[in-house]
Amino acid sequence: MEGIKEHKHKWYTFGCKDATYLTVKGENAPLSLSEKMLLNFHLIICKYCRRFASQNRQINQLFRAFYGKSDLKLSPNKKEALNQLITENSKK
Amino acid sequence: MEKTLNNQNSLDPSKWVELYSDYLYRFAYYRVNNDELAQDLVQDCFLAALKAVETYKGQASEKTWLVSILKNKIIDHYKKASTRNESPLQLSSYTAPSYDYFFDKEAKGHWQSDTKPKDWAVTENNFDTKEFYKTLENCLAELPEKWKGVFTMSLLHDADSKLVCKEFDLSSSNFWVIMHRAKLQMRACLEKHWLKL
Repeated sequence: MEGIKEHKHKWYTFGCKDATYLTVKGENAPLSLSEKMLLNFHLIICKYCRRFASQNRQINQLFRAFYGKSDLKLSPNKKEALNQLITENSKK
Repeated sequence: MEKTLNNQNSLDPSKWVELYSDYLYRFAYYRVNNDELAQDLVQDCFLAALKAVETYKGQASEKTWLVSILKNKIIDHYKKASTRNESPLQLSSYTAPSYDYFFDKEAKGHWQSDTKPKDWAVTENNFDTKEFYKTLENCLAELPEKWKGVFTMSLLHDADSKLVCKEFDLSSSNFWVIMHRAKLQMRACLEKHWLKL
């Protein structure tokens, strides 16, 4: 199974794939001390992963705003059809 | 809008459409990203709820109860959408780029030269527009079926990842890999199609 080997990050093999992985994971789960150190050190030296991290935060914000803006509604026709369906299926 | 009877053990199906149908529709839409399908799911939800009226004990509000029924319908959809015998990470989408697309296996997993994140600050971007949200929606549509829901739920509800794992029947390591790949894909998609970098 492709994926990331958990808890097996070694400093000499830790790269951008690992860094971006921990960036995403760290949003929701506490990273271990060694994970934090490996990630932070990598971010100091890698501007692409720094970009990924800040763009990632931006995407989170945009996504939440997207939901807030939504004005998706069902059409009155559809609502009427649903009401009819409910009425028909309520009669027992 | 009339008050719901949510402090009593009774349901009022005659008010469901008026009170909850838009909310349920949005709920479904963002998880399946398809208008017709979302409407079908809401319909299935109401029908299933009518059959299950006897099981409602009033511990949850009417809305919460309906949402949980809808969630199950959505999960059923994901199960059908992912083809038989595929692991959670090899879902039926051939459009989801693999890790190798982004990272060079040989060079310690560093970014491939053509997928390195570009500087977004160089372009003037108004993200707060209808056009942007359309692009965001399109990028979301590129994700494999099940990933859409995992991604959405995780971002929106600041997920307790354990809850998301439970709902989508994922191990936590699968969950993190999905989120990682989804984020990689979304970032790349937005960079290409919105920022046009």
